[in-house]
This record gives sequence, C-alpha cells and structure tokens, in this order.
Amino acid sequence: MPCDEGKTILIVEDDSDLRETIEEILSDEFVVLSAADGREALAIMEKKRPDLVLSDVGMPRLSGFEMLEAMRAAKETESVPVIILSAKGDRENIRRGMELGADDYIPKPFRTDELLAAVQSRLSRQSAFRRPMYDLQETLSLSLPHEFRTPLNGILGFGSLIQDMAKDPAPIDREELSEFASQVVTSGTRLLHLVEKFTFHARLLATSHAGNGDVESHERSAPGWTSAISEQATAMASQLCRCEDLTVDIVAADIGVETTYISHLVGELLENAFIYSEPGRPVLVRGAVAGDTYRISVSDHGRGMTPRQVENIGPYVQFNRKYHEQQGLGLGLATVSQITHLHGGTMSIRSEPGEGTIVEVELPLARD
Amino acid sequence: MTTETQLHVPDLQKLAGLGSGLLSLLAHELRTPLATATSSAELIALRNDQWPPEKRAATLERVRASLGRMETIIENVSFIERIASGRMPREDQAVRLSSLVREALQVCAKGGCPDDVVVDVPRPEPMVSVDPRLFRHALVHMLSYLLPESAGACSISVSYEERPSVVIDVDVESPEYVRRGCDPDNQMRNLGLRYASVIAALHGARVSITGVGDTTLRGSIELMDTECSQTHRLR
Repeated sequence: MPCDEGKTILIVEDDSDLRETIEEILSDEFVVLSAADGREALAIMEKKRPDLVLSDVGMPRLSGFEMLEAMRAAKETESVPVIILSAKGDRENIRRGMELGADDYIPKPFRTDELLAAVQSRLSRQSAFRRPMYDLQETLSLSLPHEFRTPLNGILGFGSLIQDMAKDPAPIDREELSEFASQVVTSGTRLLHLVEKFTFHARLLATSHAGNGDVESHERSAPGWTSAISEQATAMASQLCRCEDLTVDIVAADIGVETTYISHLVGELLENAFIYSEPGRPVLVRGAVAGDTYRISVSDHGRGMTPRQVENIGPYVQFNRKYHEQQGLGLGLATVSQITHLHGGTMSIRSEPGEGTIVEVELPLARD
Repeated sequence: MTTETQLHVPDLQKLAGLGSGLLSLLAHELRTPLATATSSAELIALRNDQWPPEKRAATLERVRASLGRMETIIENVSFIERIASGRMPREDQAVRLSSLVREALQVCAKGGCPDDVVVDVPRPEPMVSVDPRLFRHALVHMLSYLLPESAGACSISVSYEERPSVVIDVDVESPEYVRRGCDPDNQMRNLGLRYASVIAALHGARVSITGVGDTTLRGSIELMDTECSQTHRLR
C-alpha cells in the first residue's frame, strides 16, 4: 500500500463548521488545505496542486461542479482526484458529478472511518495509476490515468448507484435504472475502445523498438479491402449521425499493407476528422494509385491546426484540450504515422486553423 | 394595531404549492449540520484523551452549534408548512418598508454579509400594512440568497410607484452567476428563498429573482394585494 504520509488534501466546503470538522478528521494523516467555495479552491490550486480534492456541491461564487469542470479543463489539475460530498440518495448530483469527472462520492452524513477510508482508497488508486505500466514516453503515464479513469469512474459510479437502488426499499424507478445501466455500458464501451487503441499503439511501438524495422515486405491487402473500409467509414459516420457529411471514394488496388493496418489508419484519421469538425461539414476519404504508391487521404473542414501543432504531433498530445474537450488518448495521428513509417510510406499534413485539415498517407503497392 | 387576514382559497392553493417538497428539502438541509454533529461527536469519542481542554471545548461547541442549526431548520420548515396550510395568521402593523430593509441588513451583517449596502428610499415614504416580523424574515432570506453571490456593489431600492416593492440588485462576477441565481431548480431547493416566497404569498406579494444584463442579479418583493398596500397615517 503506497504511503499517504505528506499527501495534501484540499477541502472545499462553504459550511465552516463542517469544513473544520473534516480538517480535524484528516489532519492527523494528511496535510490539509481548505477553501470556502470553488473559486477560492481554484486559487489555492494555482499555487499548490493537491493530491486529492474533497468538495461539497452547492456553494456560493463557484459551485463544486463548476470547480470540477474548470479542474478537468486545465492540464495542471485534470488528473487530480475529486471526491464529492453529496446528500445521501441525491442521485442527480452524484450522476452529474460522475459525468463531469468526479472520482467518487461520499454521502452526508458520514462516519469518520468512512471518510478516511474513501480518501485513502482514492489516493491508493491514484498511486497505482501513476505507476508506469510500460516503458513508454512520460506523457503516456500522465494522460492515460485521466483517459482511463473517466470511463472507469463512470462504470464504478453508476454501478454503485445501481447497487444503492437495489438496497433502497422504495420502488425502483425503471427509467432511472435503465439510464444508469446505459451509462455503465457507454463508459465500458469507451474504455474498451481506449484499451484497444492503446494496445494497438503499444504493439506498433514494440515492433518498432524491437528493431524489426519495417514489417514484412510480402504483406498485401486482402481482396475486397476497399468495401470493408467503406463499410467501416459508413458505420463510424452512422454512429456519429454524420452520414450526410461523409464521402468515400476509394479505388481498388493491391497495397503492400495488411488490411488490418489500413483499417486502423483510416479509422484513426476519420475519427479525428469527425471529432475536429462540426456536423454538417463534409469529410472526404479518398484512395487512389499515385505513381508507384497508393495514396489515402482524409480531409475535413474543421478546426484545423497551426504549423506548430503539426510539428508537435506525437503520441498523447491533444490540442487545446482546455478549450475543446475531447475524449481519446491523442494517439490517432501518432498511430497513423507509426503505421506509415513501419511500411516505408510517407505521411503529410496540410492544415489551416479554422479551415480544415487534409492528411495524406502514401503506402507502397503490393509486390508481385 | 394588528389585523388578521382570512386567506382566500386561491391564495391557499398557491401557498400549498409553495409548500410542496418540503420534506425532501428538510432532509437535504439537515444533512450538513448532521454530518458536523455526528463527526464531531465521533472525534471527541476517539480523541478525548489526547486533546487539550480547549480543543475539546471547541469541538463540543461545533456540535452544539450544529444541533442549534438543525433546530432552526426544522422550525423554519415547520413554519413554512404552517403558512402553506393556512394556519399562520398575519399580525399586520403600519410600517415603512425601508426600516424593515435596514433591520434585515443588520441581521445579515452579523452573518458576514457586507454592511455598506446603499438603500434608496423615496421621501416622504408612505407606510404599508404588513406583518413586520414575517416580512423582515422574508427580506433576510432574500438577502442571504443574493448577497453571497455578490462580487461587487449591492444596492436596494424601495419604491411605491406602482406597488410597494423592495428591489435588491447585486453585481456578480459573470453571466454564469446570473444564470445560476435565476435557475428555478436552485431557487426551489433553497430553503431561505422558499421561506421568503411563502411569507410573500401570505401577504399577497410576489418574490422574483431575475437577471439584469449579464452581471446583475436582482431580487424583488412586490406587494400585489391592494389590501396590503393601504397606507396608514401615524397618529
């Protein structure tokens, strides 16, 4: 069990008596800071990043939820765990907290040992997340905890609410139960997607780092791959209700790349195109032979990137996260770059801020 | 001079509406002082032997204060319930609204609200017939709802032009604060504002919280009932 000694807990509670009581409970084991509202809490966090925040919801000047939103939008505090203090049975507040990225909740009134256990448990989990999982870039170990934590907390939080409902003697609200269950499924699906992305990227890196260099030169795309890719693109657009925006124009040809890699490549580029553009703006997927290579391009009319952002593309960098909240590890372009590099291809990005982005990848044709 | 007012059925219905959901509001309001009392008592039990007398005394005081707050909350909710069910008669007197405003500000100043609020009053100021104790409570609760959000100036104006009214304007930091203050759900969940609303309704008055521009939150109590707006000359 990681040592919690010296960890800093920030208490955010407008009721001074309760705030002092919680300070007293925690001060034997932790360094305790306190604030009377969300605004004061954010000012404290600018000077000292706490290891955990324990926050009430309804407060003047800035509520607990508003503070939480601001924390999750800032790089310095996005991964600080937050436990919300809620009224017992206040499912609406608990649900909203989970959706905004809270890690846990403690219902009032609480026992002293319950509060201590919740804080210690959350700090332990945070330490486990911070332990390096693989020998990867430093940014991975910083962004992964946040990305995985949000859907994990969704599963645990809404699962916990379902448990509470089962224990409650009052009749179960089936609509509410259905909504909670949907949230669990949504969070689980998102987590699975993230795990798959991460696993794939880790495998690519392992292939590269192991000195295998380029993948086997006898690789070849499967017959009918263009249909599979078209279906994949259409399915993605349909999920996001962007079918009318999507145009797919891929000419069949034998490429020296396995269909799995092509699928990942197009999938990542399309995901970015949809994420970074508004509904109603066109997204175009093109594929055609260009000399002795096959050129795949995905273009959008979305947010675009500055030249510096293009230069800085690396794994786990997400642009302007503070201002544009997206989900996903920021691996997309890095994965595409890795796939292209492994197959001896080239990738180019043309982008104008506010105008859109075209990503072009040139891959070798299959050898006869 | 006191007058009892018989409530009309439509008024009772409106009051009853304002009294709905009181039980869940009571449960919600009690949780924080209950958490303080139980946790503080637990701490005393656990650490009594280690603590110096001052610390023990301070913690006991927190328990006492929390229990006092719980008592006040229960009384307030019970009060609202009595008004909402038509079992609370008014004891009207001829008063000037500005004096009730100043008394309410003094009460709020003890709780840490600013004491430099500008009060604009017409001269000469007529009298109105209200239950001063209840109406002052309503003003205290409205001020308690509005003033903590204030980032800047607060001004109060008492007007008798169309109907007797008290208008409280507070400057807030951002449009988000205005939105939050005007949110009906937030208002319904605020015990103090509910209290103010039922007292106002008992007087045939209307409480409203609105936004003025992007950064001003306005609360007003307007006496709609013509009976209440009768003025009395001092003898």
